[in-house]
Amino acid sequence: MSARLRAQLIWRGAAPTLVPTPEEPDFADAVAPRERAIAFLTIGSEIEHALMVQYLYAAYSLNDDQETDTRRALVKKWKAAILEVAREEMGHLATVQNLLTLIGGPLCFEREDYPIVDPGLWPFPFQLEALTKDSLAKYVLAEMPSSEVLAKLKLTDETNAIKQRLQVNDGLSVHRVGALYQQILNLFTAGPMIQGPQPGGATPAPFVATVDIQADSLPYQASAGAWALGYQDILVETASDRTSALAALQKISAQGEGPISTTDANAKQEYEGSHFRRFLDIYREFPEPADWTPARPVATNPSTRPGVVDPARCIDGIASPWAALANLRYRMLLLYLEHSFCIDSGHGSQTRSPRGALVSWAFGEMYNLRSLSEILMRLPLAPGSALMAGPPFEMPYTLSLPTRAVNRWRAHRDLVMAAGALIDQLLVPGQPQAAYLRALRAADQTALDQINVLIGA
Amino acid sequence: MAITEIRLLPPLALARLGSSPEPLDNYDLAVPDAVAPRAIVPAPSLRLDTDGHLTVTQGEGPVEFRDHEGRIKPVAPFFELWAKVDAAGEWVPVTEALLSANGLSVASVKWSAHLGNHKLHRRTNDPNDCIEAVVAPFSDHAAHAVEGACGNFLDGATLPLGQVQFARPSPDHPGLRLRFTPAHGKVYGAHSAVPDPDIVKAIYDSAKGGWRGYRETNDTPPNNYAGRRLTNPADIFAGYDDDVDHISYGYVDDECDGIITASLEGPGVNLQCFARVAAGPPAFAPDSKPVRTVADELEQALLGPQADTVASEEEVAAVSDIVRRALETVRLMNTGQLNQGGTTRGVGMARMDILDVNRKSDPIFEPMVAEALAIRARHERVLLALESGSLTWFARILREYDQVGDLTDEGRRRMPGMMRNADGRHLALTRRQVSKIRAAANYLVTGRTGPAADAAPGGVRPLNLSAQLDYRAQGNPPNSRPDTAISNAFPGLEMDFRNVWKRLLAGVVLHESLNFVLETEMDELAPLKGMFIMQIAGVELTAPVTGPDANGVVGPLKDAYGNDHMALEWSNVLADIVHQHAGQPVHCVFQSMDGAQRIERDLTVRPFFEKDSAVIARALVEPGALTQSLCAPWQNDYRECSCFYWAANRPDYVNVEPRADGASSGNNWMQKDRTSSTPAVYINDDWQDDRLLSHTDLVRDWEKALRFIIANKDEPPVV
Repeated sequence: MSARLRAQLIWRGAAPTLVPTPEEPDFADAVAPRERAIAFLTIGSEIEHALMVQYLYAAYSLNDDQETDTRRALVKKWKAAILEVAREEMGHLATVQNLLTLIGGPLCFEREDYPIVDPGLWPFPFQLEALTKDSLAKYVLAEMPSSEVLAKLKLTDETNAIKQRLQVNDGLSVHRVGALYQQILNLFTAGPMIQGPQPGGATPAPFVATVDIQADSLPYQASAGAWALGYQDILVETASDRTSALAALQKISAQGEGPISTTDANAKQEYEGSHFRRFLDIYREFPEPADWTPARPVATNPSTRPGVVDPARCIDGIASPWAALANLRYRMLLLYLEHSFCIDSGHGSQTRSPRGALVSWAFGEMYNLRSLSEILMRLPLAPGSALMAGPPFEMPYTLSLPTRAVNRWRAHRDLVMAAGALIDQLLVPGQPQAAYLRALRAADQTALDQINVLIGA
Repeated sequence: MAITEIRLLPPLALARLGSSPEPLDNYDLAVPDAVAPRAIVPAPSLRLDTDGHLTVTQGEGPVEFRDHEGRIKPVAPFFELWAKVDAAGEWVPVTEALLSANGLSVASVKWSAHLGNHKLHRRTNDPNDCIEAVVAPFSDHAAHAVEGACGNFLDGATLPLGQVQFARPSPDHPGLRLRFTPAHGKVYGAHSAVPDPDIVKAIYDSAKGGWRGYRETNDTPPNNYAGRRLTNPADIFAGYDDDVDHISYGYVDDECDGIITASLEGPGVNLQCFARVAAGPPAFAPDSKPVRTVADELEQALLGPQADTVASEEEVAAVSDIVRRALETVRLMNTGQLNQGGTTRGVGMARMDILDVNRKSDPIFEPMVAEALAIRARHERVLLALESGSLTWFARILREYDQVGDLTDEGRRRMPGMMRNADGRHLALTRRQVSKIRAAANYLVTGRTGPAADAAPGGVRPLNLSAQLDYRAQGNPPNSRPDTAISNAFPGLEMDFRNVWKRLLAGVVLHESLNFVLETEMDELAPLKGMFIMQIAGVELTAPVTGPDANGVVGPLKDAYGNDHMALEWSNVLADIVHQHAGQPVHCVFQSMDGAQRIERDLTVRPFFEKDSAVIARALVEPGALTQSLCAPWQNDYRECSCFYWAANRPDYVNVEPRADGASSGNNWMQKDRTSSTPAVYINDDWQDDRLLSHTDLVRDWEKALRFIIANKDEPPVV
């Protein structure tokens, strides 16, 4: 999010306390409903993105090498569950881009880097960290439904206790993501047609005008057919009108927090499948720090940046090129994703385009990030450090794509070539990951061959 | 050191047709990295001269698949004789020394062969159309011709099916082995007043038999015994059409399958063992393997449909190989083309779904993700992920064997995609393959604690039945192995593996591709002939077919007979039964074609393998039966099938390169004119375009017309 946008946003309502209070991000200055929706979708995008990265980091931090079968089984179950949630957040991220595309807003693949500047706009300050009971508490509260729904689910006391724990241990209050989505839902919900002066001089709630909802944006949106691979829990929802936009928002809200209102017909089913319920289950099972430690001692917010000198964060030594490669592949993923939204998919027709290749490459980078994360979390943060490294997920200086199509391919080419240089650097004699690195280089070469043709080289 | 048992290894080998007098040299397939094509690396070969002497040769240059005259080198597999001796628990090669220690000699070993070509008989049902070749027991080292005889052949005419030869043991090569060399791949025909210029020789006597002029309807076969007994697909023989029927030219090819027997007879010893061989066309992309192979079927039959729930590194490597094979298949498919909807010839499974069950016309995948290079990239990256330990999502989107009738968008997008299954719908892997992939995914997501170590080289000792199935005899090239033979047969290439199951239940003969009783072999079971078999041991043999109809309404879809259920392919649906009930009676439920009558009987499940052996039981398939429902001649399949399942052996899309608009360009493998200056434009196969090879081109000179593809590129044109 740009600093300028951030500066225009405020958080209305009392600061979150143990007593549920309305929490509403809004603008200090008046803006049109469409722009308001774009701004909130942009925040939503950053939040989904940030949650996904943090969940991935937490899941990879889990250590299967436990003393007992019971503990091993628990760790295995938690890891699978959190990775699942992270994958679904990816679907949410894509859906939010679709909604931005629908109303003609700019795409957003940015996210807040750390240190967090304005935690008030976020569920909680961005932090890459090992999975702990406290970090789980944050995830539970971020994905939590409204207080009314909590009451109906008889979870008010339990969630209050979790809030209490976080405040006591970390001095932290968590905003739930659902509040933001409710704002966006409101903006997409059409009000009644205005018939003269309103009683009491009330102003109708603003909403995105029908004329700004662009059905012809559909070919540019990410589709479940292309991205979800038949795996129905990953919600990649497209939208072509107000109804489908609202349906998409409700689906991703429900997958996150469970029932959106106390009157939901599918409340039980939504609760069962929600991220909130899944994190709450893990939280309930997760041991206290004094009991046993499910996660590896991975660094918190590891960094490759020269200015970072904190020995608990600074990646050095053998992990450095791996971390640089992870950052690079992360950037490649985001650019492939972004670029794919710029190309007409030829929805339903036989139009051929490089969009399919971008989708395939993006999938490849998701796998690579997983692989690189697993590798990094088995390497020391720095020579002599007791901490293990981890993927830094550092944002590049820009994610803006060049305006000319040919230069977008040049951007991809440059990154693939940079990755090749890092791979060469890593391919030293005795490198235990040599087979993976060689295969990565070979796969990159096939991509590069295609990119060069697209550039016209 | 008494010999107690003997075995021939491998238990099943493939021979591949070719007219060169030089058999194909041996080679290895090396994997340079996770995503690159396999490299064909010369390996020590065994050369067998006319006197039976063996020498080892080692090629240094590229492996040549043709001789200097452009003729294709046949794949001629060796079968080795192994024995179990009472002093040792493991199998050892039979040598002169071992024989001598048992008071025997090389002359005590007698070889024989029985091969058959039942393609004509499968259609006409005339016993005199069975072509049988029996080589009487011999112990000498001369080549013995395998000549197929047939009651309906012209007097004195035979069908050459190749030769068998017993190699002389020597100090350098003490083991005993026999080589089967297949036929040349010629097409013979029926005698007629006007000689047919497309055949090499007339051998069939139309005055005796009805193969020439045999008819099958052009339309949906009638819903009666005569209609239901036809092969599936039907009409897959060379011929011409009138308004009603497809009418046979009377062509006979020289594919075959059968049994090689070795006997050991002497004082106190009388042992026999067997192996099977099937002779089919070459694998034209020899650096590629199919995604579902005969080896996968045999492994499932031996070990059952469920793999261990916790995979080992070795099994993860096996799963990588499955994904690699998928890549090797899609790399040779024009997936952008095959993905399309509509009923135009030359498009893929979407067309079949319309024609078979009147599903709505839609592309299978979103067109942009089905583009050939995008599909290839996706598979490459799955392999890359496997290399480093990630597989989870892939395991979840596999098609279940009993959900092949799910023709909704989601159902059709399950993996493997755009290929045809043995039951005619979209391909499912064997249940054991699926189970292995899931176990590996489970292991990778939770269990592996670092990179995989390099796999240890495989041993050569056939310690158990699995090892025997996997055994590679010295000098046998990889394309002689069952893991290079297509098994999602519709109808198949090297063999139609569906025929393995037809005699699984003692007393009845099942249709290879339908839950239908073709014949009965006991009087008391006679009423079952012509009935559908609906259940075996409580297992339903059919599955519902659902999807959007022509109006887009999702619901049951009916075939031309009005059925909204389909027969599941035998291999997967019977996997538990063959594994759990071998030798036992199972309860079977039969239903008449009109649905009015129901009969229940207990029938005994025949063991799949010969006792304590990895050879497909002789009681299951007679010589000639494994190939009986293939196209006649096999060239018809190359011409008529638009590559829905076998691109790794019969390529579709070759010389593929990226195009400036983001799509790909390349040639149809069947395109006649393919030189370096030919524009790489894919010609859709509408069965009419004369720029593509015709039936006649293939029947007359397939060896010259068809080109090997290595690393997705053409070999140079054959002059």
